[in-house]
Amino acid sequence: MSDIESFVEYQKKYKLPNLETSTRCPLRCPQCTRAKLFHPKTSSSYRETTSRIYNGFDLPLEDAIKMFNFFDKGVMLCGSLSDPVYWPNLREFIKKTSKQVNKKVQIHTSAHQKNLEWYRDIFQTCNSTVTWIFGADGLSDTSMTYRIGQNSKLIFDAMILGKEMRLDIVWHYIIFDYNVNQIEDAKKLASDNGIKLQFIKSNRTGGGVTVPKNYKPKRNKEITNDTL
Amino acid sequence: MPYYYNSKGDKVEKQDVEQSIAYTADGYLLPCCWCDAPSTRKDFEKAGFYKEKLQLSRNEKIEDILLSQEWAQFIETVLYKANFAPRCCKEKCGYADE
Repeated sequence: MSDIESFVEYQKKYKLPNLETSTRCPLRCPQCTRAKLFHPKTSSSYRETTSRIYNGFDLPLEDAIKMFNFFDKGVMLCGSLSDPVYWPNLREFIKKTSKQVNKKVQIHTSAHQKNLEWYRDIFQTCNSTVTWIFGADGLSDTSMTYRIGQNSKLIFDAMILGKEMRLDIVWHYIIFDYNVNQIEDAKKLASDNGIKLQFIKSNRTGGGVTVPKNYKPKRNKEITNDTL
Repeated sequence: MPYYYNSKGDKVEKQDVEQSIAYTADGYLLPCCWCDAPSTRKDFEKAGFYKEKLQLSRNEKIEDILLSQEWAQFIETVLYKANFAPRCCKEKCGYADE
């Protein structure tokens, strides 16, 4: 088997491709690509980022299905510009894919939708093939320090609702200096509500947030379980 | 890649392949989401990843994209001519012999 065939076979068999579903996200997380939209308009980073957004479009449902059908384990809706809760095809995609019980759909989200009813409605379309992974870096009173613009209370309410509706809910918590003192409270909140909590060691220092020295990753980001 | 070649030419299996293929907002596939940043886009444009024929909606089969000459050339560069690989690949996933 050639190197390229080995690469493709490995990705097909074992990995979930990371799908950008649109160019929409209302948050202003300082380490996100979108933060470059606040750079000087003459800078190349501003021009390149706006160009990506203007040239981008909503992931067509048929292309999403094509990816889902090809990869044996399923797909990850995540991206680096957008949040999947703003993908107009999300509901339809979940409905179409959840029949294949041997594959997963992971939904990585940090941005809030309009209200809890929106989450209740879409959670009703989900079964055990769907995992919702919420990015909330701290508790509901601090998460918006990094996730600027996040309605953090709604995100926590949505996580708890998801668990009540017996969905697979994961909480991703990037450790920053501003939230390191809330780790124990986060573990308790997660445990009390049956939410799987994963702490993230990240290099996202800058833009008003810093990572504590003892929580820096060895190289790229590291995901740990709640036994930190 | 699930493996790399060390400086002696030995094939070394990797234990921690974390990155997966990424689909971009403008409809293309890239080796991972870290390649989809303003600072790295030029490297992948140069390598041919953004040729119209490789846009997902223009292909019936994913294999037609991933097994294309452009992707094969990229994998060859990463494995055998790593000094010429895109900077983000070297920084994020590169291996150096101890």
